[in-house]
Amino acid sequence: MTAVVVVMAAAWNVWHALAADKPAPFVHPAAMVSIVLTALTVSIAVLMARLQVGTYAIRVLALCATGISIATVTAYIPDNAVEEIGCWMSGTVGWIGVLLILHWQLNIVGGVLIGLPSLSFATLVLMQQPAHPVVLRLFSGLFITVGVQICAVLVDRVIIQAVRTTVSATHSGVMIAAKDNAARAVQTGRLRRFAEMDREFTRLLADFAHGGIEPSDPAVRRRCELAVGRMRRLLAESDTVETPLLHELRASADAAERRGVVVELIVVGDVPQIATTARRAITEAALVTLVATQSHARITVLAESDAVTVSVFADGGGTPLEQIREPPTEEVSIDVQEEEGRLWLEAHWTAPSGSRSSMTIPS
Amino acid sequence: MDSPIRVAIIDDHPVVIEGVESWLTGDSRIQVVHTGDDVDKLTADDRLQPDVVLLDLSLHGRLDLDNVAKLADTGQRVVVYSQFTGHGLILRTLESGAREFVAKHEGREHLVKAVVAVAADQPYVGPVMAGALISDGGADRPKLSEQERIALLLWFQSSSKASVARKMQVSPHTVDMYIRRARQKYEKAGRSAYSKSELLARAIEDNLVAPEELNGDTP
Repeated sequence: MTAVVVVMAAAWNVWHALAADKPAPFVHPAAMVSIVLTALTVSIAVLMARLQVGTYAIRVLALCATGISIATVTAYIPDNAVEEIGCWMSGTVGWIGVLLILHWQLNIVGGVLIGLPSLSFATLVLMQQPAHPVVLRLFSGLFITVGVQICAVLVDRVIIQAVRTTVSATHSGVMIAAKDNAARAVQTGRLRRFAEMDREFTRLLADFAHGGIEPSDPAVRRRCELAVGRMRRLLAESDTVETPLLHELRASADAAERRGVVVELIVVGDVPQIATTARRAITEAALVTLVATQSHARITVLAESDAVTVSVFADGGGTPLEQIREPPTEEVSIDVQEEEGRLWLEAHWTAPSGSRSSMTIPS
Repeated sequence: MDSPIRVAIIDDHPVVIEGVESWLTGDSRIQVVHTGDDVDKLTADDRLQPDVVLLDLSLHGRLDLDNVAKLADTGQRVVVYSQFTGHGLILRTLESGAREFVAKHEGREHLVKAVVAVAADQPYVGPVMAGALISDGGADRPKLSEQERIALLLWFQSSSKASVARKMQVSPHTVDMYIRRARQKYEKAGRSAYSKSELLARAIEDNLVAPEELNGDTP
């Protein structure tokens, strides 16, 4: 749009220069010098303003130079050049002004584009007192020029708004596509996990049907409990809750509690948001430990903003660590200790980009 | 201690009073001298003079820390037991003047140990209270040593000092020392409103606190 304004300003000046039958407007040397200085200063100002260098100071300088020039020219104006001076002020100076304030607030731009020519018109008429036809021609010239300039500014605003709308729509489209892709990935993952659960239960039922395993076998009972615990956890993952980790830990403990195991869950601190894969690594370890628990388990969650330690202290033995299906991730470390019929598992999560907390305990 | 520990139980549920009384009187060192649901009646009767007041934090449906402060201000050793175990609440309970806090689900073992320890002006930290202490983010929290902090953390996680000792590769006695030292630092930090002279004297006797630490140059 700036280029369009420049072209329009140049066209105006060329047309003005080629109008050979018009009287020479600025005959006094002081006026000519002032015009040259103004043109030079304003040109530099426009270039520097467009390059965002010293914007404020340069614009003030340009406006001051223009004001001085207008005052000088007006003071030395010949009697027959009132129209030319009016057109010069609204045309050459006006278009440069448009360039300078093109992107300012619309009410300011409108005020400058209408206010300055109005002031010039009033000054010329009052000081020179030209004939009525000249006043009318001067008014119509100013009106047409200012009208075109205001139209240019409005077109510029419309184009900018259209570009912004387009960019916003594109951004919204990208966001929607990203969310759609994420939802598809989550759904694919869940379908895969449901398929795994389906295969697990199918194998169990087939083994029961063929008589390959016995329900009275403790190992078989653990296998069933583990499968049920994983299913409950998978269902819990899709629930909308404030703290998914605690919700999934409770779901993981459900199967053990149904077996008669007393499970304590004690939480200290506010649990931060943890990615699903990391939560799965934590709850899988807890689940496997709970399956091996005989009668009592104490689950403690110590949470900080960038680190969470989940501890499962339980009576029992022979934690089948090889049954942990979700391996620890980079964010999660697992430590298991067995001692005199007790299991002590610690799952420690640290935020991906955060530093380890002072609460971190040695494993 | 030759004479039995005189304990008053303040709770608004008769079944809880009977259960707790049964737990405490099962230990020959303890004698329950008063049961009731009103703190004012206890403080008004000068003849009772309990060594320890076991106080339920929630009476008649109202969670009231003022009762703790009221008893502590009269010089009573208060052990609070409650089903509410939020760590912020536990810390506020200690700040109000309670000597120790025991969660109701922690059972007889911890309750009896807490009563006996408090009667002897000794610190006792149950696992739930340990969790509250290590979660304390207050600006005026005492500076615990690394070993004290780890001992509190592992005690909170396992509720087994033997397991903590194995994990820390120290003796159970040392673990107990770390935990008591941590509790003592909280006392010294001024979290209790009651007179600390007896507790500090015991702490010095037990080498939990060095005399020079009382001059305010604790690291």
